[in-house]
Amino acid sequence: MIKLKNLERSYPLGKEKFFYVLREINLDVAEGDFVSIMGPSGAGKSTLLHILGMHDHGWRGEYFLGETAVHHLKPKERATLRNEQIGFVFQQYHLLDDLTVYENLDIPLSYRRYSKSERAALVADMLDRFQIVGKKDLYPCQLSGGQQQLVGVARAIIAEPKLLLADEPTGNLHSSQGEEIMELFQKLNNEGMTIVQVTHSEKNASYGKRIVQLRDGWIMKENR
Amino acid sequence: MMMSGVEEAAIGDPGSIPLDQSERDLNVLEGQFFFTIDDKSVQRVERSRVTTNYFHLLGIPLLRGRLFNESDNDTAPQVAVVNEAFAKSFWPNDDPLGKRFKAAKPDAPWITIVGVIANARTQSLAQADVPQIYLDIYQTGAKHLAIFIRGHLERTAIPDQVREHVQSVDPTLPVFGAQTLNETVAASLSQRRFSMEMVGLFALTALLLAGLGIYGVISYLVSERTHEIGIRVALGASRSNILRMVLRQGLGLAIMGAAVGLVCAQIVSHLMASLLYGVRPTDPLTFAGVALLLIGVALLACYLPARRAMKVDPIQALRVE
Repeated sequence: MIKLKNLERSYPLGKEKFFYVLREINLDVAEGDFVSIMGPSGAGKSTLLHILGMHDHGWRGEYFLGETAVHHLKPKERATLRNEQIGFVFQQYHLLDDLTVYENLDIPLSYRRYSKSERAALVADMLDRFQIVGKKDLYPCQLSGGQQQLVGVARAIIAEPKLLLADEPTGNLHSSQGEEIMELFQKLNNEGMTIVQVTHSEKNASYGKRIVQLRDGWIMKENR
Repeated sequence: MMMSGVEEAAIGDPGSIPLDQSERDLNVLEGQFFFTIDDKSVQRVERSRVTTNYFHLLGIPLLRGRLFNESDNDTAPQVAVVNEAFAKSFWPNDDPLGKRFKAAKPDAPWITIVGVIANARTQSLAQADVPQIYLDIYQTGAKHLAIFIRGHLERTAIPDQVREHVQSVDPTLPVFGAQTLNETVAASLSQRRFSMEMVGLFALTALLLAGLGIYGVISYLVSERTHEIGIRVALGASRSNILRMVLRQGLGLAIMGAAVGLVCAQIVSHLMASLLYGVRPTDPLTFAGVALLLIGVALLACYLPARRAMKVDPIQALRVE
């Protein structure tokens, strides 16, 4: 599903000097895979995830998503592709504080080609699937961290993406809430969704099928 | 002998000079005629003394009766031509021709109305229906005369040519104060124009301040919402989605402000009534136009912050929290 060839990301430091965040990244992620990217702070994990999520466009190399050569696409075309195929879960949930749970779930749909009735049906379905119907009119500040992340995951998959990217999804949760989220990820993966997550936790990484270790921008090793 | 280039000429007293403010004041003092009709209404009427050519020269058509003629000399009974407003004021259901009036002086002669002319804006550009009487200057005489000429003349040569002709009759007669009709009209509007320019200046300043205010508020709101915008972009919002979101917010504020402004304007606009000409204080087209202009300025003021919002980098915005 994902193929990266010699992908590099750098920032200019001065005249003809660059600081490399990612170097010669070669990575294949098959459809239905569950990959955990691990590594110390500053290893380039989140940068890699944002490149996969097409939030970052300043990289070099080749990136194929399915049959599409992302490296040949313009930013606007990448945004369209991202909207069609990718969902994103953030460590800090990033729910919009002044919107209810229902409205937060509706946001991604409002930026895609869904009719109002389709949007309502999808949100209702997602509330039901995640068993948060009773919380649909609550605001994020009225939810626990685990519940907020649950809404975050629901929001990421509501537009039915093929690929779910998660940047330390349990980083702000206590262990039981983290487990709940990881079990949810495993369930989604078992249903066929491809997942790439960044994590510091060995335990959380073990929920996936593969672990990719990053060090100073290089892929050091892969464990299956 | 007619001056070269002159097609038509007439004579009147200073009160007959159209829209001439200073002379009109004099005319008001001299020409306050008080009429008592049915013992109940008292009304002031403007009076001028003119020759018969005056009406044709100023393009004021005769509606009924006749203008002055050669038989109206200083030995004949005095006659007058009145305008339609005068006729309607005093004889709304009757023919004014043949009716008589006189000044409220013991020895004043009776004056017979012989003609009715159309109303004209000779006293005020804003009002055509000021009741007006025209007497024959050959019957009444006048201490000061105004000479009206129409034709193709060199503007700068007029005073000298007229002075030369007048002084060929009597070299002691002073001739001064030549003005074209356009200059007279412009002079009569000068006070209104100044008021309008002042109001316009204040309005422009207010518009500028309103634009700056909206720009400031929307800039602040955009900076406050940078994180939210970053999330929205990360969740799929396009640049145009963000632009629309910010503009919609600014438009909401502008519409609210315009609505409040329109209500306030409705309340106070009658205070400006005396400065307006050809437009009502609550003219809907003007109100709608101004509201649209303000909304346009507001949208323009929102556009810069909106463009800034479009460029929000989701990665940076999400890291900032």
